[in-house]
Amino acid sequence: MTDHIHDVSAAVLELAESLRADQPRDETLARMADRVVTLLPGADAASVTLFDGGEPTTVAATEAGALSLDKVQYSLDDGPCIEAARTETVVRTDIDQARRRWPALADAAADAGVETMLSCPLFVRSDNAANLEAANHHRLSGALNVWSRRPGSFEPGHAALIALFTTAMSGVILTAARWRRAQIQAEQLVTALDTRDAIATAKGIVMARRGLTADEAFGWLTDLSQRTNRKIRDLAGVIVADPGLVEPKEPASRRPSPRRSANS
Amino acid sequence: MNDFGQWQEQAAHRLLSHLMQRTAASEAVGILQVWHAYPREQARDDLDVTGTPAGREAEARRIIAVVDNAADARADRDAHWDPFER
Repeated sequence: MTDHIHDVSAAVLELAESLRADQPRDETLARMADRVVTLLPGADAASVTLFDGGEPTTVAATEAGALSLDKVQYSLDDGPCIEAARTETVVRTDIDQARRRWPALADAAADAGVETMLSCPLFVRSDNAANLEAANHHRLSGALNVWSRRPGSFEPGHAALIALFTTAMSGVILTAARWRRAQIQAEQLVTALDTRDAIATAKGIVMARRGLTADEAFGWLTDLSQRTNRKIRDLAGVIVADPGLVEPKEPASRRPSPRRSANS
Repeated sequence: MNDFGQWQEQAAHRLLSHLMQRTAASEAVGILQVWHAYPREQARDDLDVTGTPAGREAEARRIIAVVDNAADARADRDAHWDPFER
C-alpha cells in the first residue's frame, strides 16, 4: 500500500507540474483518468462526471464502455456515480449489489464485463462567491468513476489513493474555471473598449458634421438615443459606418477646414 | 499607503491615461473621417503620422481643439474668434 501511495503521489505531482492553465480542462481530466486506471489496483476503466447546470455530463472517459455505463446512470438519475456526487461520499458497489439497487445499470455492467464499481465525489467550491455559504451553494460537483472487471476490487484502503486523485482533479477543475472566467472578462473588456472607440469616433463625426464641442456632441448622441430608443453603441456603429447620416448643421463652406495650425 | 497600494494607484492612473488617449484618438479619427470623407482606417493612419503614441495624442488633441474652438466661437457671438483665420 505504501508503494501504491508513493506511486500515486508521484503521478499526481507529475501531472500537477505538467498542467498548463490554458490547457483544456477535459484534456487534463482525461490524462488523469488514464493515470487512475494505471495506478489504482484493479482499475480497468475510469470516467469523470461533472454536473453542468444540474445535468450530469461525462467530460472524460478512458473507454467507450465507461461512457455508456455513465449514460445509463444519467438516464436513471441514479447509480453509484450520481449517489457519490449527491451525498459527497465514496460509493463502492459490486454487480450483485447493483442488481438489487440499480438493475438496469447491473445489466449494462454485465454486458461490459464490469464486476466492481467505485465512484468518488468531486466538489469544487466556487471562489468568486460572496461568502462561505454562497460558495458552498454554488460549488461544482461531480464524481470520478472507476470500473473493474474483477470481483472484489477496490479495497477500503484504496480510498486514500483515490482521494489524492480527486483532490488533484478538483484543483484542475477550479483552475480551469478561473482561467475561463479570466478569459471571459478579457473578452468583455476588449468588447467594451471597441464599443468605447466606436462611440468616441461617432462623437468626433458629430462634432465635425454639426459643429459641436465634444460635450455637446455627446449630448446630441444621448438625445438621439433617447428619441429613437436605441442604444448609443448601436447608433455609434451606424454613424461610424456612414458618417453622412449625420445631417450637417451648416453649409460645408462654413465648417472647419482640416488645415493645420501654424505651429503644428 | 503601502507599496502595494501605491502600485495599484499608479497602475490605475496609467490605465486611465491610456483610456483617455485612446478616446481622444478615436474622436479625432471621426473628425478626420468627416473632413476628408475617407474611411476610418485611413483616418487612423493619418492620425498616426508621427508613429509615436505621444505624437498621435498631440495630433488628436489638436484636431479636437480645432472643432471645439470653432464650436465655442459660433456659440458665443461676441467672441468673433476664428481659429482658422491666421
